[in-house]
Amino acid sequence: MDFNVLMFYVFGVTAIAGGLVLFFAKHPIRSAMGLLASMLALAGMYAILQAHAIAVFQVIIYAGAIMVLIIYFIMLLDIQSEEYLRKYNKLLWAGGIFLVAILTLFIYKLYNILSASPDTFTTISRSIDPATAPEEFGGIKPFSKGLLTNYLFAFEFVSTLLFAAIVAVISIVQLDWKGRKNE
Amino acid sequence: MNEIFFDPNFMMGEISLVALIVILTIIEAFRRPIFVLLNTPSNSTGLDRRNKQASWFAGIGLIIVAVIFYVFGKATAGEHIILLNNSLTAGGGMYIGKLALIGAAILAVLMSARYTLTQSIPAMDYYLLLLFSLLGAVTLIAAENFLIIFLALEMMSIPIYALVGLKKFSTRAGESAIKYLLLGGFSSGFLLLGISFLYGTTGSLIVKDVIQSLNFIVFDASAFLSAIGLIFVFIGLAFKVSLVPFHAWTPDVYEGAGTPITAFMSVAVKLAAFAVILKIFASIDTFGEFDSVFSLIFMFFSLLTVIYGNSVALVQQNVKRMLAYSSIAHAGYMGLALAPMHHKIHTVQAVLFYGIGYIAMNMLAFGVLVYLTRKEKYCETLNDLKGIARKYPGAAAMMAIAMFSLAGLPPAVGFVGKVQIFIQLLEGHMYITAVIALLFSLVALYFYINVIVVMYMREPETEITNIDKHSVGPVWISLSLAALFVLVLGILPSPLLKWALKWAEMLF
Repeated sequence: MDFNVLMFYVFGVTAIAGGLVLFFAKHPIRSAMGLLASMLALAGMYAILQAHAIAVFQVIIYAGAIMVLIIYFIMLLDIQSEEYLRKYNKLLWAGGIFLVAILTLFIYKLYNILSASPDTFTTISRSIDPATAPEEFGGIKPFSKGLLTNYLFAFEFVSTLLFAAIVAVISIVQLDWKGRKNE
Repeated sequence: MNEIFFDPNFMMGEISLVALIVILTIIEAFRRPIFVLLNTPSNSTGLDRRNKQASWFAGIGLIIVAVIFYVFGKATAGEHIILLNNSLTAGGGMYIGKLALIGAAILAVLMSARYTLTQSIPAMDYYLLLLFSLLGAVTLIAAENFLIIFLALEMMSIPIYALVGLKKFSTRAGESAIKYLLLGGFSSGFLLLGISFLYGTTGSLIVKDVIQSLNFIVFDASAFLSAIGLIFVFIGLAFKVSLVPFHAWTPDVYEGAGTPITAFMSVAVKLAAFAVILKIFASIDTFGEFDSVFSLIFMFFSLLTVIYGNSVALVQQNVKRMLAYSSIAHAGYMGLALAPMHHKIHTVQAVLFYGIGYIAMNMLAFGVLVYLTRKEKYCETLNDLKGIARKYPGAAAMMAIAMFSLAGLPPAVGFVGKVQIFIQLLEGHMYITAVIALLFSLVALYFYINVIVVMYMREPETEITNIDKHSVGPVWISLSLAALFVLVLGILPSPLLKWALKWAEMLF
């Protein structure tokens, strides 16, 4: 097992562990840190899979910007009261049962399918090998080129979408919220 | 069908719609006094006058846009092309679907002229958001690509989230907006997860490529994952059309939102989302080993929707809530046509016909509620409608037409729509399903006819107060247009059937 494959599994395990911390931690900041670990591990996986641009975006946008936003929200909301947590902890078993059911189905099906074709793991390790990646794959150059050619319409449409979102936010915020009454 | 990167003739309608949005934004930026942002009482800033102007701008602009859509759509109808690297379909009968959605928006704007005045809502924001949503809807039905489907769906929904909450002095509206926003985000998550599964197994985002490379005959990992992907995509879209069990938001949101918004949301969003469901699922020839699974999914969800929507609507005292449950039931009828799994052009035609007819009849029903609004009191419950026919015979007659059509009684378009759906079910040999659906549309007769009975035969509990006189004209125009469509297309359905067929051809 060469280094790349080893690191792939290490990052994979870290990502799952981060997800578990996110799920089971009592304190919201610990959950946020679990999410951060999970995202950084994912960035590592992208880098190993030769998607360097995506790895950088993952670190800058998710681990950077979005984490700051999440932590801000946690600070602003200050969810610490035991009662509040208990209300949601009561519902945990339902989610747990659903999760276990889905996971069992998923793992069982995938195990069936994978055991029928034993070369799947070799396929994975081959796709991690840098030598097999197409030229210029995953860099910033093909990314920007695709953005302005193949995905031009999507790119422009997103800018219109952001404009719509700005109008939506302004129209909601400028309403006279103080005068609201219950009906 | 050929591919062109860009040809403005095929996109002139969308371009003019975006241009209208930009022009309205600039106008609003210059005429709005800045101190409105600082919680000054609205009357002192001439809100009524500005609202009236805004309604004129939006209404006339939208009619011009509709004409452009029609002229350029008609001119390019001979060709069927794919634009911008597999982003959008254009040409052919696509303009019919777009015109149907724009028609819904025009009717909504005509009602909103009155609604924004009586409720003192800043009208230009409201119209801008409505136009954004319309832009999302017309892009959504033309999308060729899962990426564009997702973006257009968001473009359609995000302004609606804001529009639902855009109501003064109402915590109920805020509650509905938050509910819709959270559940909408949840459903978008489902859709994206499904799309990523499909991308993972087929390596493409283009709907046609994905459908062609789906292979359900050999059961392996990719067949399993793509089946899961398709189910998730279906769930994401089923939220938007409110099929049971993804309907929980519908009654609350429909009740809390402003009536014209409820009307627009219940027809345009539903039709556009159904067009996408049909585009993805009706062109899949076979699901191989999953054939029965998918047939069961469509049948189960849709039949449950019909049963649930119609039975819960029976006990509603609030007309808006009743119409919400009825809209759930109607989504069920549209979904039922997918269940026979003999996907062909006539199934799609039947659903699209139903969807377009539903625009006219539902707009009519909600339009009457807008007409009967008072400044401090919405007309929403059955009590408010008691004996209304004596004082407002015109409005009562319009409501009666809408109720007849929604119930599926003969002279109206709803009847032809239901017949089309049942023909599809019978051709697919789903007799038991057809019988159950028919039984529940008999159940539905009760609560639709009940509205007419209440309007014509009950004595009002208190004296009926006068309605507001603000902008009654536009509402009457929208009511008469919708009633005209309901009756004319009900008696002579063949043009609409032809249009629906033309549009249906574009989805394959």
